[in-house]
Amino acid sequence: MKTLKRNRSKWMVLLIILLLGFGLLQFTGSRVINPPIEAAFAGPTEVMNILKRSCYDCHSNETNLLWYDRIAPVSWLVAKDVEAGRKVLNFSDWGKLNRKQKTNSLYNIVNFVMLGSMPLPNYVKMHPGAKVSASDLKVLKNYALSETASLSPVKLKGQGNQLNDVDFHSAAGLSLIGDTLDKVLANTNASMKRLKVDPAPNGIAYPRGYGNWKLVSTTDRFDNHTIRAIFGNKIAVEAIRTKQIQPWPDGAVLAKVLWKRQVDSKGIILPGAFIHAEFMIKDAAKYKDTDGWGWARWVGEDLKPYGNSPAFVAECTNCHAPMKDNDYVFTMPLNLKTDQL
Amino acid sequence: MKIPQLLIGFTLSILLITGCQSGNGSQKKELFNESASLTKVNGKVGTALPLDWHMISMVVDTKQHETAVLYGNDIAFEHAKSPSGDYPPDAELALVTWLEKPDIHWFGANIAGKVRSVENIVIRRSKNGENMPVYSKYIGQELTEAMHTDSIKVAKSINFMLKLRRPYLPD
Repeated sequence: MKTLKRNRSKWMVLLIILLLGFGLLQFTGSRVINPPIEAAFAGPTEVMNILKRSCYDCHSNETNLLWYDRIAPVSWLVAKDVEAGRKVLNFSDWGKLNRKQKTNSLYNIVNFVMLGSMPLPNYVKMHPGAKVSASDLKVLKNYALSETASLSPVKLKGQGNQLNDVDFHSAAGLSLIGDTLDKVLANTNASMKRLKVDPAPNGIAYPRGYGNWKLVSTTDRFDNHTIRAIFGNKIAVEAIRTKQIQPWPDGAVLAKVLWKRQVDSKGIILPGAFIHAEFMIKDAAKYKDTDGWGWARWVGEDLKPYGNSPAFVAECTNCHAPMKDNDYVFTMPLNLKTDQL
Repeated sequence: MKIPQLLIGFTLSILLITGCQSGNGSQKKELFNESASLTKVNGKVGTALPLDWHMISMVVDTKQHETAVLYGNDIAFEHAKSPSGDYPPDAELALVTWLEKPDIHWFGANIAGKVRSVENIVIRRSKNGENMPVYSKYIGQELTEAMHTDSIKVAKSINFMLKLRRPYLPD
């Protein structure tokens, strides 16, 4: 009986200590403060409602914490997420962005929601009202499209059944080719000069000769007015042929080249000015801290390495994070079969 | 409830809440662009699969909602890298045209969808020593050989393919 009473006392003491400790915790750690709203986002009511409900708590200066968000140690996680969220995107500073930044941000928002990265799944578990439904996503997509000079395809009636001859070979496209031919030839000659190219801030050297690699895919990015070609080195191409890209093997390199969309009056697009070339270099051990890939980019015709420090890689890994199940690769390669035509 | 169980329950609750990582909710996505791949056709037509060749350039037709890549074999590609004059004999070009489709991995992007056509040019040396482009066209995913009834259209296609230059690519 005495032993039982002694044990009970010990548990009581422990409980009191824990409760005291828990109480003291509430006075420690960062707190969320809402700075002034200087340049608030303004959009259609439907869009505003979705963003305020699902995004504003982390991505604005209008954070509205629920009671359980304020209890430490949960409040520490909340403060950390809000600080990080505001750094990446802050709807309360939206007006400070230029037109291009706004459009890019809109598409990033749509894509991160579409790919399931945002709102953060654990946030949605604790705040079910923040979930973005399929119809909400459609609203956001339509808004992004309306803010862009969109040229996305619409479904044609009988698509796939019509066997009309391709049309862009006609004078429409040829006029553009004629006009740009001299410029392109001049640029081609310029490209023959072997520029001295500095390595990226993380030490990755410029991969020479990638223009000779096989084409893996192309993209028309009407959201940011670029067209892209993605090339793969021998190891990457072999991985595609043998369907061994989950994960990609060490030594695989993917090169993505971006050009400005050069559009003529008939809607024909050719590669215009070179924008940049960026690379993903697979080495699971060497690059284990950056999702198994080495990341690098060189910008402009003088091939300036992108980034002021190795920390630039965080931009790459954050953007590619939603593709974790595809070994962080957005590109869906063409199936490079070797059958004869 | 007894105190030990209360303590355990309390501790587990804290661990459950604080143990949640801010991980991403990435979903399984498609790996390959299967619809854009070329299928085998019956019989040889004398040219290797163009996807095995090098890209010379790319074109998008926003009105027809098509995207195309001009491929070249090694001879054509070497010429395209520093073009001077016409493509030499044995150069082969292939213009693969696809209907565009939205990229499911990125809203705001269109990629190659179903194959629309493959047009081939092989540069042959004629008897009088001139370079002659020999043109053929295959339609649809099954690459059915097309009959050429419109000579003007064929001439325009040949002209387009021969004139399309490689964009600036500093490699």
